[in-house]
Amino acid sequence: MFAQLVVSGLAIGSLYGLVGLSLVLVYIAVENVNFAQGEMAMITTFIAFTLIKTLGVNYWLAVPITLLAALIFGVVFETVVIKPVANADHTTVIIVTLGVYVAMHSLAGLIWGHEVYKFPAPVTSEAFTVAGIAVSPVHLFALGVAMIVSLILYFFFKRTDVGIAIRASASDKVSARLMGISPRFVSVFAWGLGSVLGSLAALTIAPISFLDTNMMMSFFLKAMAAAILGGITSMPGALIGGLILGVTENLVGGYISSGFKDSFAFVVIILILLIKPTGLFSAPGQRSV
Amino acid sequence: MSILTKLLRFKASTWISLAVVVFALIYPQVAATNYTVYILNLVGIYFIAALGLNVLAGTTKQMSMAQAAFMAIGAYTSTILASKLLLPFWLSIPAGMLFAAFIGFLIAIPTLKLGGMHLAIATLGFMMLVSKITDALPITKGPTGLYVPSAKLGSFVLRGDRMLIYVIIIVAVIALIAANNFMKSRTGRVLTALGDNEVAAKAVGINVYKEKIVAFTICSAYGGLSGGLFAILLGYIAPDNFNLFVSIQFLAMVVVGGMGKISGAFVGAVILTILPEGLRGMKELKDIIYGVLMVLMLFVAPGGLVRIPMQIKNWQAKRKSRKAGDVQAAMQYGKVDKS
Repeated sequence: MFAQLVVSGLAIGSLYGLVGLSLVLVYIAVENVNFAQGEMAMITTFIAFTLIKTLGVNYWLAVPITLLAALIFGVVFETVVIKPVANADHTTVIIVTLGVYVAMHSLAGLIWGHEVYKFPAPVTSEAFTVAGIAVSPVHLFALGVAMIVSLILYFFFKRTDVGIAIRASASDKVSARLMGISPRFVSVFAWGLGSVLGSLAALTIAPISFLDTNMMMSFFLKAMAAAILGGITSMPGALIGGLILGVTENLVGGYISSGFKDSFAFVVIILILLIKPTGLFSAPGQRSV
Repeated sequence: MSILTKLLRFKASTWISLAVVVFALIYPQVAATNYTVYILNLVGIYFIAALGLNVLAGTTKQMSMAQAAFMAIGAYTSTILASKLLLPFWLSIPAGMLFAAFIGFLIAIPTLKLGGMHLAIATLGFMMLVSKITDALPITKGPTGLYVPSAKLGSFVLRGDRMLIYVIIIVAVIALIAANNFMKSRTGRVLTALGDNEVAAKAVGINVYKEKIVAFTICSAYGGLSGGLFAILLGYIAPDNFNLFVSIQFLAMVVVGGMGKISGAFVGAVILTILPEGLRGMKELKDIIYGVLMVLMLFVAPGGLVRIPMQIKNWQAKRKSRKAGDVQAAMQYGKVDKS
């Protein structure tokens, strides 16, 4: 049972990590958490669903369209909602993203109703057994997506000019500006990319957890736990945090009590913020004066 | 001095407050439907919760997303004490408030060492934890809900919202006076200084950490108090009465009304309680409007509704100075003479 729990925990955990990645990305660039990230991703997933089921578009065509929609969504979101309050304090930005969270959640309910739908997956959902452990292809797919995305992001941020520019801006906005890196570009890019990542994660999650307006809510909170666990400024941290969270959550559910399983992520949030607020993998933070 | 001149010396805000109190005292007796009185009760309760948040967010600029959690703690504690130990409401509700304050104190100690964003997330985590716990604990009867014994004064039962409102008014007024005194007291002013500039506050020797804990404890106490009253109003509580959206609602009230000003908490509570109830028919649209309103308010009036007069004054002053600057520049270049 232990091995089974670990394996499925890794699969779910990679999804937490993927969503967590989008949160960390936005945080790195603009030092703010997007509380509406989950809901935005949920809406793009519904768009994909409408494309595939109602309009009969092929899955592999619908996905890029959805991701493009997510990109536009993120950019528009940044321009309309974030830019006006970009210089205000954290509180204001939090409230703004919370307002969007509430509005989008209900908007989705208004457009698509509250039924639960089954979302198509590119692989079958029948599990096969490997060495006595049931493995679902959908979970493997999720793990695969997470790994590929992380690799791409790694190369992007370490090797490309744009990626390095963004990291520079996050590290020291003023100096970056002096070097010609536009903070507007960084902000727009981060929100856009974050939105795409979130959408990709939701598309991967939907076949596993079914599609309804509430699908992202608990996922989002657990992704936040994963990001905090790994360190909100560390992208690999978010992934590893997600994996750790997924596995430990499963183990707690299996060995202690399944009722407690859901609350575990929140306990993790509180514990990590108490013990090591900067997370497991980030450098000790400096507080700017 | 004639009486009229003496009366006219009072500020507009005093008159408004007086009008509000008179309205609140009379209306329950003459109101046509019980529903409107229920709304009035709700406004009073939400006002108390928003007041607590106002003390915290307004002074220290820190956010608590857990106000609904403290409301739940107050509500459940008060109800359980009333039904199991047969405590009367005027004992069980304060007990609930104190317990909520205690929990708030415990939570504050570790989490207030963190910065604004981290505190928000920590309170979010706590909020969800309390949500799950109230669902799971046998004593709270989870989603099936808990019956709340009605409020009794001796053998006199406070039947209905039209009587409960007076209790709420009294409590709200006391809470308001307490909050006002607190904000004006040394600690209150220290906290406001904190919100403005934490480093400067530290530099003059204010124990930032300790004062923040005081603010958070007060905030959670008010949350617990409103919870106890809420339980009596509803007569029946379930974990879903105290979910994340409720917490967000309180934040919206403080921000839309005006952070840091007690009148702001009141205006916010009134508007954001009455508006959703008025929009009740269009279920989904109600929340959408709510969210959009939150965002728009911050764009249009970042200081909140009650600061709009000041905002207008500032804007007018800016216009005037800009105009004067233009005239000056024109004079410099010899286009206009000194008219």
